[in-house]
Amino acid sequence: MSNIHVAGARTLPFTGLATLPIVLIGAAISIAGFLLTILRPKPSRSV
Amino acid sequence: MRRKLGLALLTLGLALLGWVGVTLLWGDPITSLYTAHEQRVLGRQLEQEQQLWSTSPVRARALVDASATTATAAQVIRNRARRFAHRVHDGTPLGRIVIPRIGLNMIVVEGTTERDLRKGPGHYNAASGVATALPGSGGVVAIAGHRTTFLHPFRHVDQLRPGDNVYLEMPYGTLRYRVYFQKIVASTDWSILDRRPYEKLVLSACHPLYSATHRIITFARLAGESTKSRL
Repeated sequence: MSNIHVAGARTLPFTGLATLPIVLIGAAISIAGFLLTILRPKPSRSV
Repeated sequence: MRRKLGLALLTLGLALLGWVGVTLLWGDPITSLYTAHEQRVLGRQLEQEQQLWSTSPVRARALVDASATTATAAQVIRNRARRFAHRVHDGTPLGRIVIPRIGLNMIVVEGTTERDLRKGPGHYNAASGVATALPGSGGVVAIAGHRTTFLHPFRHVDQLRPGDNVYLEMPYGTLRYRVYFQKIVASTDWSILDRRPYEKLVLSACHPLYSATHRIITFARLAGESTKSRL
């Protein structure tokens, strides 16, 4: 990923870490897990 | 079942967030293990290369100032660098970069591809987009390094100040550069490699730490050279 093309322009060597997407994924997974933990399934109606 | 899945996801998500936190605070520990191993391999290769050069009949000279009196040393190094250029290929060790101010002492690898930079700081070559000179051969010498992952060689590059020394210990000699300027540029700003009347060293790294939108660039100027390698 040394020369990424952004809008047609060649970039200088990539030496970083874009943490925002990882933070968003981590947060989404955590929230989903939290909701699954606290929410109870609706009781099924008996006919 | 549902609760177990929820707990598993919660743990995974928090682990990811924890990893980001640790990486931003101290650097990624996982990729650093890989780079540490690669550095040991490169070290052995560089030792062999150094032995080839130390057995050459060229007499070693002491480290002297890069003024008019060093014209001979400069010429010897320039010739050696030219010869050495035929021996380096993508991924091979080039020399050692030592920056006392930030406690850096690592082997520089040839090239700046993702694969090269996993091994250590990388020297811009043709595959980088713009080929830069080997240290001591005049022109512009550029090196890129990671800031958060892969042993994060340039993590503290922002702490460099004008007057700080950067040493490049090559198999054919030792070069000393003195930092004179630092700036933040857009990731597409290749003017950092513009030539100057003197030999210019350019250190580049992503900026800020949690992003890759910009690059932090440190400029240094050749201040001394010796035909004696300190490897």
